Amino acid sequence: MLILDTVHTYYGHIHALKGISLTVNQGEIVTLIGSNGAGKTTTLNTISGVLPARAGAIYLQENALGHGPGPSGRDSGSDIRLDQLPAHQVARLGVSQSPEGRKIFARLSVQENLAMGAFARADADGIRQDLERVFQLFPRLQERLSQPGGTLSGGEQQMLAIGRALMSRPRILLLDEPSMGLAPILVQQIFQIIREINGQGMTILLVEQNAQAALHIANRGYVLETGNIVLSGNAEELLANPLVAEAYLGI
Amino acid sequence: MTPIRANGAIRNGLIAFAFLGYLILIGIPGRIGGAALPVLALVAALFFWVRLRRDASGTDGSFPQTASPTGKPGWEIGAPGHTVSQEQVMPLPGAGGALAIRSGLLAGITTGLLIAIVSFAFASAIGSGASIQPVLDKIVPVNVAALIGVSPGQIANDEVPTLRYLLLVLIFTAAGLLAALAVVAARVRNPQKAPVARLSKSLDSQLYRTVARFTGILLPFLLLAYIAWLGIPGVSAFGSNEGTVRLLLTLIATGSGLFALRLVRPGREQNVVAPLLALGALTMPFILDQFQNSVMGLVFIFVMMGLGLNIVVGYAGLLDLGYVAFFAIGAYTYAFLSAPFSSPYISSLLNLLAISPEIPLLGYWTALPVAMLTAAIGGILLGIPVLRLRGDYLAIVTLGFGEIIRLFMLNLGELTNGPRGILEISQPGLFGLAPQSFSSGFLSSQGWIFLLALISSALVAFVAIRLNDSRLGRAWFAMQEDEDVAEATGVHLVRTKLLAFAIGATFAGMAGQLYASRQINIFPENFSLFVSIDALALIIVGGIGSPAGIVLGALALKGLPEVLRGVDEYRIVTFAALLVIMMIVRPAGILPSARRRTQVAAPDEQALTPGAEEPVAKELDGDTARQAQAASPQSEAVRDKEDQ
Repeated sequence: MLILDTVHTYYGHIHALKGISLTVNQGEIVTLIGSNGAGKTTTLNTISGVLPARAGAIYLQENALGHGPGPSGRDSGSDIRLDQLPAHQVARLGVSQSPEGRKIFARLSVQENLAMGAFARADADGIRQDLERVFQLFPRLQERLSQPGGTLSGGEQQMLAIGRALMSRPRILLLDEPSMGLAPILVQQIFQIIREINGQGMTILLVEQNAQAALHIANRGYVLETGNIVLSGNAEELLANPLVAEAYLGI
Repeated sequence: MTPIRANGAIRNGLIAFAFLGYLILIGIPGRIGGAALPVLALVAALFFWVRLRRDASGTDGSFPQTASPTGKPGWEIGAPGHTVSQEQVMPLPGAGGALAIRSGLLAGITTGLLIAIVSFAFASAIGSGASIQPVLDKIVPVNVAALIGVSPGQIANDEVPTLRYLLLVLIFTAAGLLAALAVVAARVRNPQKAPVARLSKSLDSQLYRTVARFTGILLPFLLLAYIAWLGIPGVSAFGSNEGTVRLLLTLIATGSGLFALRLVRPGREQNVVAPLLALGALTMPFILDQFQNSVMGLVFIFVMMGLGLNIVVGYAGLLDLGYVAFFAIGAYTYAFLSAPFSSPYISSLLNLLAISPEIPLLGYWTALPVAMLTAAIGGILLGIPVLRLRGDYLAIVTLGFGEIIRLFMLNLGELTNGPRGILEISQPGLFGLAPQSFSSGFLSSQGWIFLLALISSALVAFVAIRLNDSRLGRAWFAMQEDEDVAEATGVHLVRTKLLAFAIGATFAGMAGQLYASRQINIFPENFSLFVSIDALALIIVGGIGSPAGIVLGALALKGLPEVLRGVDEYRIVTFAALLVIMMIVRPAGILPSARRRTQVAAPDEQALTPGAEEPVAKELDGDTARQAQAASPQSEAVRDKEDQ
């Protein structure tokens, strides 16, 4: 449902993504692994429109299962070019990002943070349902409803970031390093929740440094190195691949 | 005792002297007159009291620790040379008291000696005819005489008895002693141990709380009644400065009204008190005289400015230093519409269209939407080029924009009359009534402006408060926190930023129009950079993001300088000092923003009443609120944990 076709992204003169092509199918967890500076976060930011792609195309399949209609004037069933849209419109089309380093709104309360997730929506009933769903996934958030986001612990902030991303009822969830800076037990918990969300039908593109954990829950994976995709395949294949094992799994 | 402790006391004395010295240099004693010495001594005593109390509670170890206020005797265990025995944990008012008294005396003597030396130097300099006035322009016979407590003639003739200086030393020493005794008395009365004593204390504090609360609620009404009584011809309180005294009381009454609004409990109490407070506020323009009304009108015009700027700076986080531009646009728009005859270009244009320029094009009320709209367009025009700028760069560009508008007004002579300004701007009427018909008698013309400013700022405040809790408000706060993430959640950055600029500018336009009709004649010089700085300073002092704080900030920064007219040249220095003190004492402003959501609905009162309802934000829907209540025991446990 999400297709990247030879996408190039630059930071000024620095060529960060050198022709990335990848596909995420409906209902999958696809993981993007690689070392620091490989371009993982850049890829997500390019998809969500925070960074502009200078060449290539990003398509979101319109007929993919989801809620509202696409922007008017387009045939349903056709693909939408995300790379030509500003970030806020990409978000409204159902691409939701939980950013690296969580980046919750520290001075807004937990409730307001979640409300910001549903910012683009107007269906009060749907928002209420999704709020309940988020509380089922993360009961901690419900306990801290009126607390400012910045006073939460790291793990709770990560839960809030994922919850906020889910509140937009996305078609595809972009998770950027959900395990960053968390204790191993919390990492395990977060990954379990990611699998649970996926089990409810959510398509997920997961960026991770923790390749082992990511490949264990993913269907497929791409290995990114200095802006290029160097390997791709099923998660099991990648786990077994000696190159991956050496470079990213520390075996 | 030990050198360190003596140094501490002398340091207290030096700081008190520095502060009092400043008051003397800006001529406060001369303005207070006969009461100067007691007032200064009282200020010193208050300062000593604060310092001694802090020292006595052991935060900097000046006294051997008795009972620490937190009830955690283990606090000092690590400190070298301190062996915490059971006796030391128990309160020992005797030993600590003696130290406190010694410390207070030493501080008082230091201050007293320094003030005596300085006043002696001043007195003899004036007496010997040395001209110190060009350097220290407030060091005049009247001022120094009030400080020493003699008549100005005695200063001029160098006839001050030496004993007077000794008296100065004694007075400040007494201030130190008084402060120390107050500290010791509080400790003797408050042993904090026996259960009976604790119980009586808690009863005491419950009673104290109730009494304090009701006093707080009644205070604005009492003050208002007193102000009204002072207004009766023939009644005078403090002699010649009566107008200033009434103004000061008015400022205090307005501020205390805001605090009263915070003290009332929601529900029936609020339903009764809030309308009464509003009514009280609305009677003020009728009670005050022309001078006080004109000051209060200005204060509330700046409240509107502050509320508007707060939307840009406090809500959306866009530092705008050129806010005066929109104020000027509002003022000049109204000026063009209501006094077309004084602008050569507009008069000729109207002549061309065969409209008589001699009568105003639009009245106050019909011009209001035009002025607001023009200012809003100005806001958007400023907003577009600065959309991509953040932080410092934004501040610099907006600063330039403010100056550009002022220079336009100054140099577009044909349109704006340049530095000669636009004259005879008409006053707001009411339902076709000319302003003169009701501005005489019971409501002065400035009173009418004040009344309008009061009502307009109430409207603006209402809109600002509603915006704070709205979807748009949330988007502004999210954008302030992180633009990229806000955009990725679907916030249209361009629209959201421009809305902030436009709404902020609209409020400034309203304020500008009212300002123009208050001034009657406006000149480009009315719209200097200082207006922007004042508006920014008042929201910082009051508390960014908090409407009540902004009113207090305006009262402090626009009202107080009028009370202290004599020291007006030192206003900027006073501003600076006030800002520095504010930032140290209350970094978030006098009344910090309610946006710090955890503190909604007085957390300490909740802690007192177990089972009190959780403060529930009501944004999303009722269901969530119910869930939040269900979750409340846990959250209380969480809060308890945090309290420790």
